[in-house]
Amino acid sequence: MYMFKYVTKRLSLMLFTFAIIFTMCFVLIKLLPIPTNALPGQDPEIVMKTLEGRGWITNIQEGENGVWTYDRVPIFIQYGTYIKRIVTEGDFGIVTTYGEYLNMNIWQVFVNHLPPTVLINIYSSLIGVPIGLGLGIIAALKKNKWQDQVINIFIILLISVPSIVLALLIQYLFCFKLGLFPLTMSTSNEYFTFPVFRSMLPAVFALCLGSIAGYARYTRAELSEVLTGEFMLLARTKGLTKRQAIYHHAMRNSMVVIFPSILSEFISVLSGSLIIEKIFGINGVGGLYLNSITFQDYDFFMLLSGFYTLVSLTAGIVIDISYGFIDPRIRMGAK
Amino acid sequence: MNKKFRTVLSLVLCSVIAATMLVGCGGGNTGGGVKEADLKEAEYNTTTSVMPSNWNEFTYADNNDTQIMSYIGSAFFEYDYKWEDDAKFNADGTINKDGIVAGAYTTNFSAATKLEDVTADVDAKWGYTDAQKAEGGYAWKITLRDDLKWDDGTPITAADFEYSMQQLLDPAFMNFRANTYYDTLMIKNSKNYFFQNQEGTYETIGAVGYASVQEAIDAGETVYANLWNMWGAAGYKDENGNEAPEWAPITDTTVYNCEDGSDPISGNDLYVYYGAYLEPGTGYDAAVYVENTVRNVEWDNVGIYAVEDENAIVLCLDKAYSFLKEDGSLSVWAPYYFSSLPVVHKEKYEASKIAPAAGATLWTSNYNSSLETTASWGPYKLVEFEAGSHYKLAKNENWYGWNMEQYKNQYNITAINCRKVEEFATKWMGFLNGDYDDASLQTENVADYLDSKYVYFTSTSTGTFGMQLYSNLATLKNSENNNGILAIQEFRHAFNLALNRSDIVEKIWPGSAVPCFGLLNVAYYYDIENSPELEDGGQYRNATIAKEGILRAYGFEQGADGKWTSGSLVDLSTDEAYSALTGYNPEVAKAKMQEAIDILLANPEEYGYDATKNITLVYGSSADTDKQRFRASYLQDVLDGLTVGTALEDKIDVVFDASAGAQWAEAFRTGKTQIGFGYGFSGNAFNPFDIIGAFVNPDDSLNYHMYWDTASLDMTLTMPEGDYDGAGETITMSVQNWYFCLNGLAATENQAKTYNWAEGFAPVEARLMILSALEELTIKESRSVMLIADGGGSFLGAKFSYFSEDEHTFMGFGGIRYMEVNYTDAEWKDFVAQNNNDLSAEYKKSE
Repeated sequence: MYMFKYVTKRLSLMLFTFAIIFTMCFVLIKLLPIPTNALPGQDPEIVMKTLEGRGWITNIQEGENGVWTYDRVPIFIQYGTYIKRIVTEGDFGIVTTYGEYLNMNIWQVFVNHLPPTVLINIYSSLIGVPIGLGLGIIAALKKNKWQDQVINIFIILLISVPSIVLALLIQYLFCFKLGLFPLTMSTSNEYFTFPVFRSMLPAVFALCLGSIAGYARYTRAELSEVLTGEFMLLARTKGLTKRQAIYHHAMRNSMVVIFPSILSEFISVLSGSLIIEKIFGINGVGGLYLNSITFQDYDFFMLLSGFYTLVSLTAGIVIDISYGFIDPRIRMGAK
Repeated sequence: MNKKFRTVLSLVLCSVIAATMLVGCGGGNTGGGVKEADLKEAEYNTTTSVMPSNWNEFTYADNNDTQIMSYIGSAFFEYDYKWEDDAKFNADGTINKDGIVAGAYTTNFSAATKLEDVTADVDAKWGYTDAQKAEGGYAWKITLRDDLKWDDGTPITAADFEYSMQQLLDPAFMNFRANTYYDTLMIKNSKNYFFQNQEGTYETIGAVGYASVQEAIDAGETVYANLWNMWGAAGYKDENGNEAPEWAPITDTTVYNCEDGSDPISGNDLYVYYGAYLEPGTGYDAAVYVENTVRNVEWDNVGIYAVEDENAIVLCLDKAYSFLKEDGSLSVWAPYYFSSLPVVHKEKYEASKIAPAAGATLWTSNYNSSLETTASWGPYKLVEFEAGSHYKLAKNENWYGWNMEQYKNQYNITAINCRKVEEFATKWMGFLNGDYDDASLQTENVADYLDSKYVYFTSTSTGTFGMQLYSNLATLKNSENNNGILAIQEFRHAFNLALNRSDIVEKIWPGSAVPCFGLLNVAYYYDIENSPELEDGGQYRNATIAKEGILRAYGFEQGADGKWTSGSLVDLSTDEAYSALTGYNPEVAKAKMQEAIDILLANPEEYGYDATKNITLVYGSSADTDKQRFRASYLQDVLDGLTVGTALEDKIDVVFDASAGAQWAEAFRTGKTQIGFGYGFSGNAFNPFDIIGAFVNPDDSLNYHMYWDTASLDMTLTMPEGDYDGAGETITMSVQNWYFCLNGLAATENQAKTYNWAEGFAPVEARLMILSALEELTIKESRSVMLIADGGGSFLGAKFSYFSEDEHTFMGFGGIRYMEVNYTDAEWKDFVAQNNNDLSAEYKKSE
């Protein structure tokens, strides 16, 4: 019951926070100057009439020197219309200024871009998590021995080299020089075929190297600390073998810190990586958010802002609740 | 043998001999059919940084969209190479490459079969005068081929073109490209139809039948007073910063204040205190707003209609064009202005319409933005498309061109695969390992590959770019940047002469541009029709009078003997002086700078100058990048060098500002930024007389300096002798008036002098003289300081070869149509494998 109350409270707060952030996003993007530039060869009158037709401006007039003046439609009137449209028609709008997706359904564009991003990030986690945890465990168990030193050097190298450099190195060596993989991800939509999977691997490696280093470092630090805990000595004195003590007691305790970071990484797969997607030609969501701001594509920006805000707020709750499952000592909402 | 039999026999023998000779000569593309040549075919793989999204002819935005458009559409008329003796094909069916006449071209029918000038024959409702009918060129009839089809087999008829134009001009959609037809082609009533119901005018109360203001009020009218005329309130602002409108309702109590402290005013004040002046006939007559019914045009009155029984389209225009030569053949202008009209697949277009969202009134369409919504009537059709990822074009088996001999044994590219690759490094590696068939020459590879035999340099781009200096004194004075000096012509001219264009190209645009001194680069033609025969190639930049104008503008002086002198350069012929021109003249620049400083210090109030503060010049940019910041600091160094030892030493600061983002042009036009670097124009290659309007016509929407009042600036020229209006006269009129006369628009634009010196109405020498004078004046003004012309190089991989090594004005290097396949797809794979998937050694070869 405590848990139910806690979750309900958190969900209510989450929705409240979401509403505030969503409104702020709308107001802030609408406060930016409206893009009224006419492209070469374009009649500025058409530009102004188009903006008027979209319901963004009103009272347009051509002033002296060809400079057009207009009044903005009040932001909260636009906001009201926008919310009403979503609620009553489920319509998130069409792309209006983001050149590559002009006049396309925003929701459809977003959904079409999600699969490659999600898959690459999941593959990256599937490879990165076990390797990272494994290296961390070995390093902790062999603390200050040569195995630990080698793993540490590996970790430092991966952490200190920026991911863009790693990606370019992987592409140059494995794709261009050795020809093991294609330079860019396949354009096929059959994601679960071997050629497409193979074409994703360079990007997966580029993504997971960083997380391998991260997991290994966390795991080593946490496990090392736990291994020195007095309860570990107690466990051994109870007659458990070293392996049993580590597996049943040390690992579970160290996971209290590590597991939420794995969980948050799984959730963050939805956001994609701008640089990795650019280098490997992945048609993912990485660049959409940034470009929706650059092009001031209001509806696109709002959908993405809303989506990512919701994802990160949900992630916060899920992570908090997950503590209770990993460590029975933690009880949410209990008095 | 009787006489009749002998005659028949001799005719047969003659025919056989003639046919044998034609085959022997390897010519004859017109008669007995062209053989199917045994040519290799392959797919072409390319990349793009930005995927096309909207290849709808009504709304396409830029070159990204035309990637697809250029393959899925066709033309009524087209350019082609010219062949000696018209022998385009060899006996084996291959193209007669050796027979190309250098620099020459032909204009041919493609989707159309006939073009007729019907100005004298069209209905009286189009309102052509007798003079216009005699002159001709206003109304045109295009007869279409009967085998035009969409890729799905649906026939295309003249009615489809009329339907498409109606959709394009539909006011509910505000289609982006409508102005091509109401502004450029000037289809009768098209603009009124497009903007119907959108505007009204203020008519005086007397004009609409009211005897007094009270009568108008009693009739329920909203009565307006003119704040600008009656009170001089233009530029006044209310407490919220809104500018005073020209017309305000007499019931409106919003008070508008003037910054200089003059008395504030409102519409209601004018009525209450000066009501008598608002009555009819006083000169300040009150007005009512009247919907502009002139713009409520029925479609039947728009100048395009189909003649269905002839499968023809008739166009009635407001402007005369010379699409036909005197002998009735197509002129160079037919494919240039009139290559086609927009056409959409009716069924797909209707299905693609999107109703306005809540709170809006604008309809949109997603026609030609995806595989499902796309229709092709060109040589290729879209077979794959994924937004943001890739597309594939394959041959369109329903294209009418396959039935035409002129296209035989061409289009050997079976498919065009294009995928989005944003990173140059990825693109370049893909080119080197044979994945892609082209790449661009860039800073990253120029050192190793500049001499590669696979690089083609282009010089037919009209792109001319440079630095724009904002110089509207009224705005500069009111800014807090203390930069009124920009309004002093000597300062701008000094800045211009202090720029070393060669150095700028080397440091800022290596490998992608060449120095340029004029407003228009070498790709502009004043006479494309006769270019092969003309000594200067018909290129404006090569015309003697244009060179002389440029020399004068950059400080050369011409002696009585016609020789040119500038500093250490003495007694040079026009060509020698032009070759020696660098545009960089630090000595004259220094002198001009001193003159500017003297003017500034003598008139600090006039220029709003405060000697205790530094001068700030805001460098506007669309993005905050290292490249842009380097450019700003480059200009800072130039100004520092220019002011050393003067009263302004270390007193001019170039400040970088990228806050306007995509609004960079508006930020410059309104004076928020004062230096626009890399701003310029391209396009309109065969009409430099028109594009000059972007510099000297304040009404031109491209103009960066609309505040430059060329309507009040006089210019005097003595027209050359000849048989035309104004010949031999010394004429003084405003610069804008000269521009309108040059383009035959003076009467339409209600100018003081209405000479018509459009093409065909004045000799080309006279037109060149005016154009050159306008260019010289603009360069001396130095508001637009042009620096570079586009001139980049690009690679074509070993899999293909261009048809011609020599760039042709119309045909480029031959394009996809004439491209030759060296390796089929399978052969190419083997070739790349033999080179260990790395073709860098091959691509470095210069021979």
